Amino acid sequence: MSKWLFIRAAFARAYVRIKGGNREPSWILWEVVLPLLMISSVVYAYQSLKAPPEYIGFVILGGAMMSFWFNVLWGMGSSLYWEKETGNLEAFMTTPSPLEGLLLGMAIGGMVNTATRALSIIVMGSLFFNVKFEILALPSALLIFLLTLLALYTLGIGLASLYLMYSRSGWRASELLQEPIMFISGLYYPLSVLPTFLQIIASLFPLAVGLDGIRKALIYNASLAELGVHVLLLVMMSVILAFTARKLLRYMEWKAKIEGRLILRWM
Amino acid sequence: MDVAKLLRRVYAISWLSWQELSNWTHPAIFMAYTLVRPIFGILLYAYIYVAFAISSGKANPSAAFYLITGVSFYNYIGNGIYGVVWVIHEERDHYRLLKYTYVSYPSLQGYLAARGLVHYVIGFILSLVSIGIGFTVTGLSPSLQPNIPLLIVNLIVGMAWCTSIGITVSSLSLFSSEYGPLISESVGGLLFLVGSVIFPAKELPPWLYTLSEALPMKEWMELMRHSINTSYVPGNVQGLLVSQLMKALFYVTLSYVVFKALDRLVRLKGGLEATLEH
Repeated sequence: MSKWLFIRAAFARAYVRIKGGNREPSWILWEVVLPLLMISSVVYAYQSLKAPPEYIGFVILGGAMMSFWFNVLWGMGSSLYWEKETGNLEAFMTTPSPLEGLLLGMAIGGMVNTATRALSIIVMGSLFFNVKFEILALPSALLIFLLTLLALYTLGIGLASLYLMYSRSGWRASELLQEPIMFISGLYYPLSVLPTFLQIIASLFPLAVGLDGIRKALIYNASLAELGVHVLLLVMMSVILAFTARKLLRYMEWKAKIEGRLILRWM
Repeated sequence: MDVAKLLRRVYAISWLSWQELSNWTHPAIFMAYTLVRPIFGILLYAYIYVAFAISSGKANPSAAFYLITGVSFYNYIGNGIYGVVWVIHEERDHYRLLKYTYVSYPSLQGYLAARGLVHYVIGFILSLVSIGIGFTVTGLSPSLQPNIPLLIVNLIVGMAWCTSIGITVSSLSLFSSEYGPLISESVGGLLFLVGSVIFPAKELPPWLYTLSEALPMKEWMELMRHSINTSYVPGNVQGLLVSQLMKALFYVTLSYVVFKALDRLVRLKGGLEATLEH
């Protein structure tokens, strides 16, 4: 595979995604307001329970990070399903552009677009509910954040490969991956409230590890040394997921071709 | 009106709804798929209570009952509204069927209402499953004293206003394939926020509370709680029922008028089959 072609394909796909995702300002507004509805519900629930104030920060950070998971599921995972439905997948497969390059472009575009939404969620949520974060811990939080994105989006590339084989059932699989991951990642609460066996399972998911690290940094002012385990876990996950995603992509493409399902819609 | 003919239509559309929902896999997998989301959904919210109980060091059974029943019964409304609102987007953009539906069924409005029925049935079953799981996780074991007639009446009235809101929203999504799914999710999210689902609506800021008063969700949710356990008294039960009925009547009328008008307008503008090519 030509590296130059790989980079050009990634750049071209990222450009389309960023340009397309920001062309309509009302979309951005919806994508910020919608998660804020759920975040506000949980914040009000905590306030009515008279829970400790740091829980409000947990909820806002959880809601912001969850938008990356939704982007991985629906913007990365399911994107090949949409390309299949609209007839673009045939074009992708017949051009010399490597599929990995296209998926990398989708990942970069998705990260950039979602980052603007997530940041808006944090800013608006913090202002509306008067939440304070430890700004001095921002560098550690940023490192954890970037490593989390790396691991999450390599996972997204792996998920996308499933859509080369499956369509409607793949879509349902993406739906299935919403609530369980929200639960296990501690979207609205610290992971420490989960039973030990669930905490062990949670440590296998990049979102859970990343969210926990970011919360520890921004709410409890944890230093980078205290977040060493988080960094190590996220680096390991990124390497393993990148390797697995590449293998899975090749395998699913081969399997979809020999079974004639590559461009079969609606099954 | 030929009731037998109407029921045959409703049956046929419900069957279509069921097939569209379930025929992509084996029944066992479909059942697991249907259960996984609400089970993890209730666990997610149950752990909000667990986190509060751990941090405060005290249990609050009435708060747990409120939260668990709210999230559980929301399955009914959430599923129902999704079942109605998603149809336009799905039939127009995914399956390119809307035009055939339009010419083969006498009323698109009636079709939308019938498409939602299966979703309400599934939503109700999921509500019961969620309540069981939620009570177990939060350590609640209330001796429930249900009022079955009130429960049935409330489910029917809830279905009426929820379907009507869904139809009104669908009439807006007739104009926009781009915003259809977002409108659907926003209405669901809004009902969750202002409908006394996981916290009492009176906790809302005044401008949001006004919105809560305009919707029948708050009354419906409080009556559901009361109907499964009459020892939970949300205030004047009769007053809540009358208020909900009045609002339901308003939304049924509104949906009829708005849908008729916008349906006519979208055809005049030639936008009925405008797809997004998502």
